[in-house]
Order: sequence, then C-alpha cells, then structure tokens
Amino acid sequence: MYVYVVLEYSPRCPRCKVAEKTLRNICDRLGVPLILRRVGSEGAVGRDRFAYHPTSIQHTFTEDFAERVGDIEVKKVIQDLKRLGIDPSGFTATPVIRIVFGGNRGQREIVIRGFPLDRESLRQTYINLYQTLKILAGGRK
Amino acid sequence: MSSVVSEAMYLIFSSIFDLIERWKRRKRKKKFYEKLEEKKRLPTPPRWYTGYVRVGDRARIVGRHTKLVVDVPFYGQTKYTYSAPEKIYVTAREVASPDWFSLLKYLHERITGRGE
Repeated sequence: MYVYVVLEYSPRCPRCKVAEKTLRNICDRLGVPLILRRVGSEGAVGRDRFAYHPTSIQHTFTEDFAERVGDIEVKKVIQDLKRLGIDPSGFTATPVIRIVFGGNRGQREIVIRGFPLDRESLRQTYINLYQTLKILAGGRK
Repeated sequence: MSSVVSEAMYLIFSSIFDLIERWKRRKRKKKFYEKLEEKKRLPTPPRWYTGYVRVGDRARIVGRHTKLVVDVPFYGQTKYTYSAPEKIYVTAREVASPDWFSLLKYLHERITGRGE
C-alpha cells in the first residue's frame, strides 16, 4: 500500500497557495509525500516560459468524457461553448489535487479540481482531506 | 599353402570391410537422429534480426538483442495481470461538503461495481 499527493499548481493563483499551505500541513502531520507540479505556461525563467504543461483533468472537459460518465447536461454545455468558439478543454483549471494510492488491486486516484477560499469551507475541506489521507496512510502498517 | 593364405587374406579384409561398414552405419544413424533433434528445436531467426520473436511455451536465451514474445507463461512464472488505474473525479464543492465520505463511498462502489 502506498499513498502520495500531487498538487498541480499555477504560480499566480491564490487558490493554489492556500491549497499548498493546507496540504503541506496535512502531509507533514501524517508523513505522506507531497509532490508539487507546475502546470500551465507561466514559467519562472528560461525555456519554461515557452512550455505548456497540461493538467490531468483537462480531458474531463470534453464531450466524450461527459458522455462516458453519463452527464448529459455537461455535454450540452460543452457543445454550446464549442458553438460559440470556446473549447473548455483548452483551459488550465488549477489547483488540481491528486491523491494517489494503490495496493494489491492496482492503483487508484482521487482527483479534486479546485479549492475553496472561504473560512467555513476551508475548515470542512481540511477535516475531510485529513481524514481521507489518515485512512489511506494508515493502511500501510 | 596358397589356399591358406587366401583364406587368411579373405578373413582379414572381410573383417576390415565389416568394420568400415559398421562405422558408416553408425554415422548414418547419428545423422538421422541429429536431423530429428533439429526438427524438434525452435527455428533460429537470422543473425541480423533484432525484432520480436514469437515463441510458444519454450524460450531459449539468445546471446544478442532479441525481444521475445511469450505466449504461454513458463512453469513457475506468475501470471501477469494489469489493472488500469481507477480515477475518481470530484470538485472542491464536494470536498467541502459534510457528505464527502458518503459520496466517496458511492463513487468507489460505482467504480468497482460492488454497489449494484
């Protein structure tokens, strides 16, 4: 059994900063590795400026994915947006939190898109994430 | 006297010829069995070929860069099983709700097909 958390962040995103702070706190307390991955095209310097790194949820904004999941409303919205000339799969939605865990039955992932900023939601999110990771990390022993 | 000599000569030469005949027969037999063995063995690909080689349940180690495709697992080899990583996609609103764990349970059951 293994658990690790991947945070896909964008440098100039306030939600990413809060997410990083929260996840760092949780992961330090539980001893779970946290991996940071910069996405988008906002690099610091050099050749990173010209590279675009997609997030791991961009394919969820496509018609195929919505159809496969069975979400007809989302599929209609995507179709409407495409008619207006907007492709939602081209957007970089950050932050993305990937909780990756696996054991004998293969790898599993919980992919969370977005992060709240208001106090009450943040508190609830902290509790939920902490409990989830505690359950998952506790299975290693 | 001459008859004795001729008899002796006959004996000597016949035994020598018999010996040669026996050697030849043994050689022929050996060749026959070697051919049979060769037929049993796997065909070897040409020396310049480094691509994939399909073998049945037997495989030999070839001393060069050869990629083997094995149809049947060897004796004692564990069966290779692959399960694709399963992903649960959720949003921040769902994480921030108090029903987070019931949702996770529902989604997990939906993925594994245990809930149906």
